[in-house]
Amino acid sequence: MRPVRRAVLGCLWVILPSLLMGATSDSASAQITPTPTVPPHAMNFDVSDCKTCHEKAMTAFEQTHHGKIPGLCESCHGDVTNHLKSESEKGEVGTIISFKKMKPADVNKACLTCHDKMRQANWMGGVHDRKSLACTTCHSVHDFKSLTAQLKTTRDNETCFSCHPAIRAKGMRTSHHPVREGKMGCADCHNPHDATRPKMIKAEWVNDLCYTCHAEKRGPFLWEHAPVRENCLNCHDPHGSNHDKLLVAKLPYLCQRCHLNTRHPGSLYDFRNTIAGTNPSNRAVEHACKNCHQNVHGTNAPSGPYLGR
Amino acid sequence: MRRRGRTSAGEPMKRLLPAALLVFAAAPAAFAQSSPAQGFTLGEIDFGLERAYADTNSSKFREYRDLPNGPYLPFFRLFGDDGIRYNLIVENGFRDDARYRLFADAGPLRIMADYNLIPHRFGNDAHTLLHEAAKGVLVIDDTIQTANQRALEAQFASNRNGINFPFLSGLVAPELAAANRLDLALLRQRGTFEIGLTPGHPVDVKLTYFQERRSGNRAAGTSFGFGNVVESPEPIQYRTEDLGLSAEVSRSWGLIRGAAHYNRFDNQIDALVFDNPFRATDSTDASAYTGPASGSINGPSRGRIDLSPDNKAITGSLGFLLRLPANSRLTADFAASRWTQDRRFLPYTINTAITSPFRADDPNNLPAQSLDGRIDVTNVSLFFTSRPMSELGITARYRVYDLSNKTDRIEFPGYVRFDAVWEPIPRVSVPYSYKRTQADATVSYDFGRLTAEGGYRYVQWNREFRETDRTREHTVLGAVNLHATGWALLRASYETGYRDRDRYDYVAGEDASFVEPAPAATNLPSLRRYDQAGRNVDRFNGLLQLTPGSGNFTFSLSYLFTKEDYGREAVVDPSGLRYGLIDVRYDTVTAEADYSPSDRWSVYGFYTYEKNRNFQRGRQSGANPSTNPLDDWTSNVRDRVSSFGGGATAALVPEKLDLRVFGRYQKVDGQNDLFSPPGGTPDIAFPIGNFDDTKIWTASAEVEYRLARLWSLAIGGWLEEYRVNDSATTGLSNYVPVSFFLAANDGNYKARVGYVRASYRW
Repeated sequence: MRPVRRAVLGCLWVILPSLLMGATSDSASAQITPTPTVPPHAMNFDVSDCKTCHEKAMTAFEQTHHGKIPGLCESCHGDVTNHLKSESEKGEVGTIISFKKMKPADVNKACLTCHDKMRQANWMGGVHDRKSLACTTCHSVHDFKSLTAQLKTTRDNETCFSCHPAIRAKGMRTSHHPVREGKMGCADCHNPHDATRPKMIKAEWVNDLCYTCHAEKRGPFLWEHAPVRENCLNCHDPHGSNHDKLLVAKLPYLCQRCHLNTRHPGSLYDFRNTIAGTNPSNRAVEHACKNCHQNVHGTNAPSGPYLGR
Repeated sequence: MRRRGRTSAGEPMKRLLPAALLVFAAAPAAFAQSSPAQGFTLGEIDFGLERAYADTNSSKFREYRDLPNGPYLPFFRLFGDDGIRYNLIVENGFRDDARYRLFADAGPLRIMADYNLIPHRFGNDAHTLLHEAAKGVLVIDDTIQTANQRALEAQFASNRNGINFPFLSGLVAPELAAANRLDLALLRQRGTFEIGLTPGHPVDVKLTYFQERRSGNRAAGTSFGFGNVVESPEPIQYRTEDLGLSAEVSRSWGLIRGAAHYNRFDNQIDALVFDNPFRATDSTDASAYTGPASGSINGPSRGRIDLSPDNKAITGSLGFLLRLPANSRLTADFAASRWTQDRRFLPYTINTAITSPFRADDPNNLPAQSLDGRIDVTNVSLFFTSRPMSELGITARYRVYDLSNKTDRIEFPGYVRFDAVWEPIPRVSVPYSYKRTQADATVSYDFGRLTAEGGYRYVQWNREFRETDRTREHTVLGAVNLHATGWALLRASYETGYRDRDRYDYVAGEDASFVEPAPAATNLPSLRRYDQAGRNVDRFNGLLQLTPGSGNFTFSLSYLFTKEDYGREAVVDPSGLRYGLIDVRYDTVTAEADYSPSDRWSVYGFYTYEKNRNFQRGRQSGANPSTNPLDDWTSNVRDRVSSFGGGATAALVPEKLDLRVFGRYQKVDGQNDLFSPPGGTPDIAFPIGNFDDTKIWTASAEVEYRLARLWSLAIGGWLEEYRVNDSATTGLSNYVPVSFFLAANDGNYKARVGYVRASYRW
C-alpha cells in the first residue's frame, strides 16, 4: 500500500471516530445511568472514608464501571456508617454487607440488580446457578486479574479449569484449539451465564457455533455427508485430541465405524500397513481415508459423490 | 510457491491496522474534555529482547504463536477516563500472533474493536514436485511428467508386472531429491468492530461487523486413484464477513431482544488443479483409476478438486423474557436462517480424453450449472425457571432445531472417478434434513446444606434419507451439592439413559444417492451407525473441594466418567455379534492443590489421569458383503494420558523482587489392539503400539526486579520439548507405495526461549 494512501487512511481512522465521540460526549452529562437504589444517607457519604482502610480494594475498583456508580460502596455493601463507627470506636467490623459471607443466591441477586440483561439475562435456572455458583466465584469487583470481564484469574480458561480440569487436560493434547496459547478462550464458544442452550454454547446448535470460524463447512453442498451436516461432534472433540484435526478417533477406524463396505472400506488396516510395517498403505498412513476422500465435509463437484473431488 | 505459507497481501494490513488502532485510541484522549473528579490515565508497556531456539524445524513449536528473535513488544496498555473511558490493549505487538483491542465508552456510545491474528503452522519443510503456476494451479515440470510417462509406457510394453513400488520409487527418487520445499501454514486475521448505542439504558442497540481473512496453505489429499495419491499444498484464501444488528429492551417486567445477521463466506479460489507426476497427456481406460500399475498406466495429466464454495447465511432472531412472580421467568426465543450457495459447477472432469458418452470436460454437458442450494434453519427455544420457595427450584426447557434442506435434487447420468474414467452409474444429490427436539426438566430442593436435584431429558432426532427416521433418547439425571462444612464442598451428578430408534434400514442411507434401481448395497448389513444406533449412556461427574483453615489452602479431587454402550442394538448378524462402534469409555481423575499463605508467595499443582477406550468391530469383504464371521476384525483402542503441572510465585523481596515459575507435562500413550480370528480374511491382525503417542513438557521461570517506582526489569525463559511417535506419520517419507506425501515436519523438537523484558507503568 502506498505511503500516502496509508497516511490518509490512518488519519481517517483518527478523525472520524474522534468527531463522532466529540459530537456525543457533550450529551454525556445528560445521560442517566440506571443504578440500584441509593440509600438516603449515601448522599453524604464520602468514598475516601472507605479508602482509608481499603485502599487496595478501591484502587482498581475506581477505574472500573463500578467505580462510577452513585453511592459507590454503599450501593452494594449497604449502610457503611455503622461499620465505620464500629471500627473506629471499638475495632469491630459492625454491620455491613460482606459478599464473602453471603449465600450465592444473595450475591447473585445483588449483581443481577444491574446485570440482569444481555449475556447474563438467562443466568437463573442455568446449571451454574443450580450448582450454587455465585458471581463472585469467578468474578471480582475489587481484586480482578483479567484484562476484561473482571475475572479472578488472568484468563477465562484458568477460571473454568478449576471445576472442569478434564478440559484442561484435553487442551494440552497435540491437536487443540489455540486456547493455551491465549488466542482463544472458553468464552469464545460458551456463555457461562446462559441457561437456555445445551452446554451453554453461544449458538443454537453445535454446527452453527463451529461455522462462526469455519464458515467454509456450512454449504450447502451438492454432495453432503450426513453425519457432518448433523453434528460436528460426531467426529470431532473441540476441546482437544491426540488424533489429527481434533478427531475423536484415528482414521481409518473412525470412518470404519460407519463404512464397512465391500473391498477397501471394510478392510482391516493393522501394523503391517503403517509406515514401519511390511505393506504401508495410503489408507492407513498420513490422512488415511482423506488421502483420497479429501472433501469429507461435503463437495460441490459433480464427480464428487464419494467426496473425492 | 510462497515460503512459510504467509500471504504478502496481508502484510500491509497487519502493519496498518495496529498503527491505526493505536492512533485511534489516542484520539479520544486528545479530544476529550477533562473531568476533574474522575480523570485518570494509566498505562503499561512491556518491551524487550527475546531469543528462541529449537533443535529441529518442526512447525509444532510455533504452531499457534510467533516467536521472533530480537526486539519484542509483549504487552502495551493505555487505559484512561477523561470523560471518555478508553482501554487499548496490545498483546504481542507487530507479530503474527498479535492482538489489538480497544474499548471505549463515550456517553451513549460504547465501542469495541478487536484485531486478532492467529497463525496455524501445519508443517515445515514439505517436499513436493508441485509448484504454483497460478492461484489454485499446481504444476510439475513438463520434462518430469513426460519422462515418467515414457518410462512407464516402456515398462508397460516390456513387462507390465514390473510396474511396482521399487520401479516407481526409482523413477521419482531423483526428482524428489530436487523437489520444491515449502512450509504449510495459514494466518487468520480476524477483525471485529462493535458499536453499542445507549449502553446501560433500557434500550440497548448494537451494531457489529466481523471480518476474517484466512490465507496460506495446508496439506490436502488429492488423488488420481488407488495407485496414485499426490498430497498437495492446498491454497487457502478465504474471507468471512458478518454484519449484525441487535437490540434489547429491558424493563422491570422482562425484556425483548432481536437480532439480524448477514454472513458471507467467500473463497477466492474455486478449485485446485494439480498435475499428475506420471502423465503428461490425458488418457483413459476402465482401469485408469488404479494406475500406474500392471493393470493400467492411463489417466489424466492433471486432476481437479473442488474447493469450498462461497456461501451466505441470513439469520433473524426474536425473543422475550418475562419476569414472573415467585422468582419465575419464562424465556422464549425464535431464530430463522437461510443458508444459500450457488456457485457454478465444475465440469465432471479436467481430463480431455473422456469423450464418451460425451465430453466430460465440457460444462454444457452437466444437467445443471449450479446447485441453487438452500437450507432453512429454524430454532424455537422455550425456557422456564422458578423458585416458588427458597428451597425449591424448577426448570423446564424445550428446544426444536429444524434444518430443512430445500435444495432441489439433481440427477447425474454418471461421474468421473478421480479424473481417470467415466463411471456410468447414475447418481442423485441428497438434501439431508433433520429436526432435533429436546425437552428437559429439573427439580431441586435445598435440605439445609444439601441440595438434591433430579431431572429428565428427552432428545429426539427426525431424519430424512438416512437409515433411521427417528431416534429417541431418554435420560434421567440426579445431582447433589453438599456444603458439608464451611470448608468442604461436594458436587456429584449422575445421568443414565438410553436411545432407541424406530427402524434401521441399512440400505436407505446407501441407496439415497443412487437413481432407482440402485445397485446392490455394499455396506455390511449388520452394521449400525453409531450416530443413530441404540445405546445406553452413563455419565458421572464428582468434585470434592476442601478449603480448611483460613482458606489459604484448597484441595480438590474430581472424577469424570462417561460410557456409551451400543450393546442395546439388537443382534442381527447370524454370528451373534454387533458391528460398528460397540462401546466407548472415558475416565478421568484430577487432584489439584493451591496454597497461598500470604501475599508474598503462592504455589499450586495439579495431576490428571485419563483413560480412553473405544471398541469397534468390522468385517472385511471382497466384491460382496462377507457373511463369514471369520472375516471379522476388532479394534480396541486404549489411550492413557498423564498430565501434571504447577507453578509458584514468590515475592523474594517484597515490592522489589518477584519470582515466577511454571511447569506442565503431558504424556499420551495410545495403543490399538487389533484382532482377527484365524481362518478367514484377514486371518490375523497385528496390533499398533505407537498410536498417536505424544509427550510434551514446558518449564519456565522469570525473575522481575523493580528498578524504580514505575520501572521493572525481568529476565526469564522457558524450556520445552515435544515428542510424537505415531505409526501413521512418524518417519513418513515423500514417496511410499502408490503415494506422494509432503512429509512436512510437525514432529519432535526441543526448544528454549530466553528474554529480557522491561516494564514501565504510569
